[in-house]
Formats: sequence, C-alpha cells, structure tokens
Amino acid sequence: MSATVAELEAALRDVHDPEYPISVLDMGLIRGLRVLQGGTAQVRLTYTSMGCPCKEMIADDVRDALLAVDGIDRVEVEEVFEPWTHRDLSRRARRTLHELGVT
Amino acid sequence: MSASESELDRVVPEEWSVTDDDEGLAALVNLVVVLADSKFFLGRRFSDWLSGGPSLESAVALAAIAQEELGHARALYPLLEELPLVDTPGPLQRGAERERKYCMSCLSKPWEWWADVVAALILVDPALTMLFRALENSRYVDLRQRAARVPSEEVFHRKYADGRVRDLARTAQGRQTLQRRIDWMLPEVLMWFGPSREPGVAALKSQGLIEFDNDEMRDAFQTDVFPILEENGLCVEVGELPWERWNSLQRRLG
Repeated sequence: MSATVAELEAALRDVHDPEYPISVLDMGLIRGLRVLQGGTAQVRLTYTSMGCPCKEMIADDVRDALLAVDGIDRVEVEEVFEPWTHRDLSRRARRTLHELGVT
Repeated sequence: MSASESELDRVVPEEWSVTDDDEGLAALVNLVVVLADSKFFLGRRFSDWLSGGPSLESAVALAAIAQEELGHARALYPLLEELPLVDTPGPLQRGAERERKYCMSCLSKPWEWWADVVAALILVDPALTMLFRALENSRYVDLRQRAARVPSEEVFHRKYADGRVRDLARTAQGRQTLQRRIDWMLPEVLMWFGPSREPGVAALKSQGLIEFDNDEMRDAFQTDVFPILEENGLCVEVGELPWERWNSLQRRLG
C-alpha cells in the first residue's frame, strides 16, 4: 500500500531546523511533496539562505525521515531556490521563536 | 504548510535548451563561470577580513556576507556540468584548482585595507547583483531560478555597504582612503559589464537568455551606486577606460 502526502508531512514534523526547535514544515522550507507509484517520495526544498551551511544536513534529515515512512523506499530531494522570508514561518514557528526571544 | 501535487508541477514557458543555440552556448558558459568565480573570490576576500575589521559587528556582518557570496558561487557551479561545451571550466572549492580565474583582478589577492572591503561592498557586489537582475527572466530556467533569488539576499549587503561608506566618509582621512580604493576598483568594475555591442552578449540577448545589454547594465549600476558615493563627497569620475588592457574572456584587467 502506498504512502500518502499526509504521512510524509507527519514524518517531516519531526525534522527540525538545525538552529531552532522548529520543523522544516513550519519553517516554510518544504515547497512541494508528492508520492509517485512504486514508493518514491519527491520533495521540493528551499533554504533560508543560498549560503546556508546546513543544506546537506537538512536534506539528509528529510530523506531519512521520509524513508522511515511505510511504503517509501526512495526519496528525491530537489533544491528549488525559491525565496524565503520571515513571512514563510507558520504561526506555530513564530510562537516558538517568540518564546525563545527571537524577534 | 500543506503541499499538494499541483504545487510540485511547474510550467516553464519557452524553456531554453542547450540544443537550441550553439552560438549562445559559449557565451552562456562564460557568463556562468564569470558569475560563479566572481562570487567565489568576493566571498574569499570578505572572509580574509573576518578578524581584521574595525569592530566585532563588522566581523559578524562580514561572516554572514561571505557565507552568502560563497553560497551563491556554490549554487552556480553545478550549472557548468549541464552545459555541454568542450573544456568547460570546473568549479572552485579552494581557489587553486585551475590557473585561469574568471573574475576582476581586484579580487585576486587579499586586500590590504578596510577601505578595500568597503569599496568592494559598494562597487563589486552591486555590479554582480545587476547582472543577476538581468537574468531574472532568462529562458534558461536553472539559471533563472538561482538568479531570481540572489537580489533579495543582496538587499542586506547593500544596506551594510551604504552604512560603511557613510562611516568611512565621515572624516577627511577616511574619505581620502576610500577615494583611493574607489579610484583603483571603479574602472575595472565599469569595464566588467563589457564593451558596447559585445557579440556574445548580443547572442544571449537575442536568445532571451539575458534581458539587458552591457551598456544598459552599466548605466543601471551607475544610477544605483553613484548617488550614495557622491552624497558622501566621493568622486566617481574615471576618465577614459583602458579597454586595451581588458581581457574579455576572463572579465578582468590584464
């Protein structure tokens, strides 16, 4: 039985940005998710900056989390270079940053 | 966020293919390697000054700026692998992998003065950004994606640059020092856009790979940068540009 996009999203809730306890979904880094026939997950990923030194780490964490989903045995991660601003943060992410004293 | 399949599917009208235009390919490879090398060496030159700036704040700012410049270079180099040209230059990781460098000569060696850093922040970095702006609507989608993001990241570099120009120009000694470094860098920066009616750029423009020609970019750069310099008592007169010493392939004064 194939996995669903909702299951992929649930798995990514546990993948945190390396700097803050905020998921990559709430950070607004995930720009697309898809499940293909045969158990392949496709992810479109952007970063807060093109010079982000944690790119490989984040991509590896995303890949590992999705490979742990039942029905997924291959993950394709594409960096899409879409702009990121603070407006991409979810309400939950803003709340967490506020609690941490980040403005 | 909730991502749907439709968000994943992209429609790219009139996407350029490397098989479309042999004439423009060589110019495109040169454009990409010039941008990548220039970003690479600009980042390296800024990083040389992480512990040499006038304040802790300047060290933090330069660290962030250098990281972004190197990130821009790192995003561009993979494009060279997908452009099928014989002898395409390879990417740089440490700077010494190949002898021929495709960047301004003022980026080749570590700078001696803080005023060099400020001059590069207000001249070299905005010049590169101008070229990225000319690529924001390029038909080469992989380049367009990257080019469209760079200017938004450069907004903060520019704010920092403007502030450092004002700081240095506040005293007569600082203004004179900055003026000397501007006199050194500005002619090469203006030439970096290339001569009028350059055939390679004309080919790129006719193919929809770049939006503006050399003179349009140079004029826009001057309109963007000269006011902040002149407002702070700095002269931007350069006289006759030494085109006889210009290396059009490597985009530098030889």
